Amino acid sequence: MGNDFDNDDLSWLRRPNDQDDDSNQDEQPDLDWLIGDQGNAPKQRDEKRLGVTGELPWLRDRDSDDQGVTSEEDLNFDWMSDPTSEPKQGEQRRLGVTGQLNWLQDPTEATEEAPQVNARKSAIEEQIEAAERAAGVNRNIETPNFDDEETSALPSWLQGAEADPEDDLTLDDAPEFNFEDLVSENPDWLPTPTATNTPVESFNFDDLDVAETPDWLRVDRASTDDDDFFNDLFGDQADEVDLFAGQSSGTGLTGLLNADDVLDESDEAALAPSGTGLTGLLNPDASTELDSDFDLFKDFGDPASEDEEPSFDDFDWSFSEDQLETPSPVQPVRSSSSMDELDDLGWLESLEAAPVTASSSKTPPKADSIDVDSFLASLGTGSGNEIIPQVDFDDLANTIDFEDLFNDDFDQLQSPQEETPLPLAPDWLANVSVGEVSASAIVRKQQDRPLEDLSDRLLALREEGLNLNPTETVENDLALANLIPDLTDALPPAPIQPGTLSITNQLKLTPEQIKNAQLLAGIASLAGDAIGVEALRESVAKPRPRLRLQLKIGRLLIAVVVLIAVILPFFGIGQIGELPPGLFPTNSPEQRVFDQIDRLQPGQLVLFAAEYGATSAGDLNTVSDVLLNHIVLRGARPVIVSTNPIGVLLASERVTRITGLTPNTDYYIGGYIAGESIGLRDFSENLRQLTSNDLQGQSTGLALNSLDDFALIVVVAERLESARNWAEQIAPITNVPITMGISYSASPLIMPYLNAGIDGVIIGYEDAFTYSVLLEGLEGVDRPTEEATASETPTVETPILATPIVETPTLATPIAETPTATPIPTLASPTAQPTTIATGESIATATVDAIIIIATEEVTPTLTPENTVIPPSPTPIPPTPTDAATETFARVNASQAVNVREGAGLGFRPVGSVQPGERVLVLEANSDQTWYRVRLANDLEGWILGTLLDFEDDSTNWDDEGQTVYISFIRQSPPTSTPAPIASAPELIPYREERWYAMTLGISVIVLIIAVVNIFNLIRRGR
Amino acid sequence: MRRSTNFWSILSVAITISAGIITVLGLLVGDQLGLLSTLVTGLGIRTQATILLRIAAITIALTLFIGILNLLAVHVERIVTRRSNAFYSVALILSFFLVIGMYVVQRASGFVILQNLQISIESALAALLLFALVYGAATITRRRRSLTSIWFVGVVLIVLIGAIPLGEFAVVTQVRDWLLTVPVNAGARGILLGIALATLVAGVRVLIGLERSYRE
Repeated sequence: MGNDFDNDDLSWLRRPNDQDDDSNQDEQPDLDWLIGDQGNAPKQRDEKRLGVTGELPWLRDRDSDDQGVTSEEDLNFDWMSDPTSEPKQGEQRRLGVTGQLNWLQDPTEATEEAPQVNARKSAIEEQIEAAERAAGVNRNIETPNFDDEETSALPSWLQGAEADPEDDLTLDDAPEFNFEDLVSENPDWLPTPTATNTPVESFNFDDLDVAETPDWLRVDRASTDDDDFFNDLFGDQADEVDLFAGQSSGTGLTGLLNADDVLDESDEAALAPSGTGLTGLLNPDASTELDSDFDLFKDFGDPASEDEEPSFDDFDWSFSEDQLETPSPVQPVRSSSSMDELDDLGWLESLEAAPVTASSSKTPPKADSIDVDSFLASLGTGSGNEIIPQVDFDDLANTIDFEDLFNDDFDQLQSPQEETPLPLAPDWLANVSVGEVSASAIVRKQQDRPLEDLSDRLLALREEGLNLNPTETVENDLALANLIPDLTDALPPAPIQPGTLSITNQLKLTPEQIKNAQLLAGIASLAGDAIGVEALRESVAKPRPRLRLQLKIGRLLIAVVVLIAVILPFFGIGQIGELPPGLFPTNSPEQRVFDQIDRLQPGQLVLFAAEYGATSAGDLNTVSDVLLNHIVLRGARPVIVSTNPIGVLLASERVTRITGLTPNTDYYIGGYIAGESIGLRDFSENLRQLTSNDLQGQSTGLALNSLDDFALIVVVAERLESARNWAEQIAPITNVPITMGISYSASPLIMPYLNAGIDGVIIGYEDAFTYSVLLEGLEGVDRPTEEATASETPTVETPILATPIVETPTLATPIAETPTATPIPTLASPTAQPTTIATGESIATATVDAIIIIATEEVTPTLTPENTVIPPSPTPIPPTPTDAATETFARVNASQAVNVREGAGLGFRPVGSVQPGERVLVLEANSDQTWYRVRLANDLEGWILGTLLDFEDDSTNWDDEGQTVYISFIRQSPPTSTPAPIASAPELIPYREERWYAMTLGISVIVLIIAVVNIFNLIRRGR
Repeated sequence: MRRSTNFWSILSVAITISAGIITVLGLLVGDQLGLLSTLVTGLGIRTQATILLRIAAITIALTLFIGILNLLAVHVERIVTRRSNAFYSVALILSFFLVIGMYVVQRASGFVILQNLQISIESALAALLLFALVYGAATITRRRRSLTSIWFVGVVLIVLIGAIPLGEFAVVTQVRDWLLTVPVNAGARGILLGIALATLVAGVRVLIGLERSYRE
């Protein structure tokens, strides 16, 4: 950054030749008044650079009138204070500002009088638009129409002046000068698009109001030649001021201000990033130099002062190198005279890199130290002295309140290295209203969290960052300055070190990230080493260790403790807690599942859907085991299907574990149903086709017409979606009850379907445990064999307790009609199925079958034509009161709690339970003495399986005594057919108790870990 | 942006809408809706709906088959081109054909692989989740101490303690049961209702032609 004034020939400054070519007239510097030499026109090269010269057409007017010497009268600026007092014609022509203010009073006249101004205005507007297009700024500049009498766009004070010219507009009436209003809402440190960064846009007066113009600006202009003033005061930026005059209206500063007022806020935001304007002038650094410019004035004519702290050249901050390389029609002009001393401005170049000391930047020069007179005197070498305006700089300096102008906020920004303010947004930015989308607004909204809200990690990072070695801060600043121009002017440098010590050791980038970083560096026109990319690449190139053994002690410790807790119960250690109950609560969803299966008749078909995969196999395999075993023990035949291909295999594998079963006879592997919900619906509509073959392509022999041909549907699901598909797609279209076994995790979500399509649910291992206990007392059911079915005739008598449900025993009809090896049930009458059992009476009827099929050693319960099923009364015969002499007591011999049922059979619903070892009073027994009615200590009476009782008096012979024979359970003849293999319940759940204890101890340890660690964390953080 | 309308676009929309209407009528209309039932039965809409369902199910099955073929093709390509980690592709293809071959030859052998490999491995992986969950729950207040995290830990502890079969925790068990019965059940019903409504809306949009994503 920095301007290279390669052409030090400032002779053109002496005398712009406004008589030359009119085409170049606008581009010629009209600074001839400085020296009064009209013979030296600036070179074309200078014209390109110094396009600002064209912005001063009114100067030519002055020159054309040969007003070389400014009289006191000419410099009377009282009209500015009193709008009603119109300046003289001569003043208007000499003093562009004065003359151009005519449009304020009569815009039409002003336009007519200044055609060149309008031309310049158009030209500048075109430049602005071109720049905006290049910058991608879409703005709709409302160009001030000076012919229009609409004055709403004018500053209020101007409107007032025009509306009521009689008002005595004085400086006192002007609003108090607010320096913040001069600042563009967009901080100048924002990235500046160099392609559009022309001084035309760079000098944005924004809200600068003439009425708000500092007093010194008016007073001194009134007392001196205005151009001299600007050139001397601002140097090249004085030209920017004039330039803006051309931009806005071509009629000077006032017109400029008016034009800027027309711009809306978004326009300002659009302009500001592409330039710096007054914002840049008020840039912390720039403002610092502005302060010190008065020192510069003193030494300006003395080249020897270059060794000191000249900062005049620092005004170049707003111009990039690109701008210098590409001549712009508008370029800053050095506001010096054409003295030989000033021609050699090489010292300005050397001043670029000279850092501004904190003292110079923070302490504005006092007005007393400004020796402007001597400076001005040094400008002239003879003839020029006569035309140099005599500026009362003492008065000027006293007028300017630099203390107020550059407040502490600016000082803070000027020396950002001294501290790291949080937040980064300066205070003055908080008051700038620029809408909600500008960068400054974002910065203004930024709020840093208080330190106490930061986590330990962030606090540690912050502390580490603050403790970084600041020795490389300067290098860092340079790197950042190269990357983002002007960034370091406004942002306090982050204490980061781009060297190898920081990034290289901290970051581990992938090759792709390195590539991206290089690309970014290329975009920023930086060498890789500038930001440490090369070093990063070297660090990445190092082979990373393939195996990093990082043991997280906390994590490992938790895992080990939990693992030990889970394993110990298998060795008999840590078996705490109670085992699951031996029965389900009465009428609970779990009990309903058991009841539904327990009502199944031998030979009935059960649709079994295994909707789970290998992940849940450890949990749900136990559920499948108990359900499948119960189905098989009841003599029913499961048809296994699944919308999960693994589920089919899992269920098939579980069912093959049950001994004595024949595929496609005792069970069927229906296969995989593709399409989930659609597949299920298709399965229901095309049941015959989808069940005609098993998974291996063998014929199943099933001829199913509808889902109602099944006696029961059992679904074992691990996910809600699977269970939901069955509940929504299948349940509404069938009368077959649906029961489910589901994982613990999915149970809460499936509960809404309970009693709304799903009749019963068992959940996870706990219910499977209880279910397996219930199955312990259940013997295998004799299923009809080939011989039995062949000899069986449909002469099975209707049970005594005639119910509509068992009018047509399920076994009889299919077997008799299809005496094949694979009996195909023809369930023509759904009403014959026990699934429609809904009353307590019908339950008792189902219990009849259960009692019949209980196998004993004495009786082989093969169904024969001779069998006359005489079910017991659902309501046991009232027991005969027994005297004390005949009372018999027994103790429960079981490892779990034993159900006490309301009838002598598993089909009766439990009315209570009795704990192992509990003593009960035996009241009566059924005919075969397999079930006993007992009275518990709490006077609860019910039936208990005889095998679970140890009688204290074995001499009990209820039948012989004739006291307890209440049930006519008659088997008239021994079976005539070959006894069929009896399916026996295998060990359903290996290590059943140990697994439960392991779960209990594991959960207990997990609870302890979670509680202790969290409490510790809370206490530690609370300190 | 206005989409172009062409013949195929119109045809696809017409097919979709008509197929949807036929399926809905065939599956929804029963035998007790009088004239509508007679109309559906007489026009064979129910049969057509069944056929459409069959087509859809077969199509889905075909997509699964195509997916398997694509999976094999991808891994074969990885092997042929000798990409990195092609070893895993070899293992996948060998396992694929090994399982199929063994299952075809002897069904029981397929179960051996299923039980001893797949179930064991997947169960072990699922069990590892336990340790991660426990560690996460134990350290949640160390990473972020907030009311939410404390609330989370409290609920976890209540549910877990309620699952411990100890008589001393009977009160906690009741609290757990209440949690699962009332708030969790309510939330589950809300989710299910939302799913049902969304499904209904999506179906109606397809039927009336507002949803035409199948044209893409």
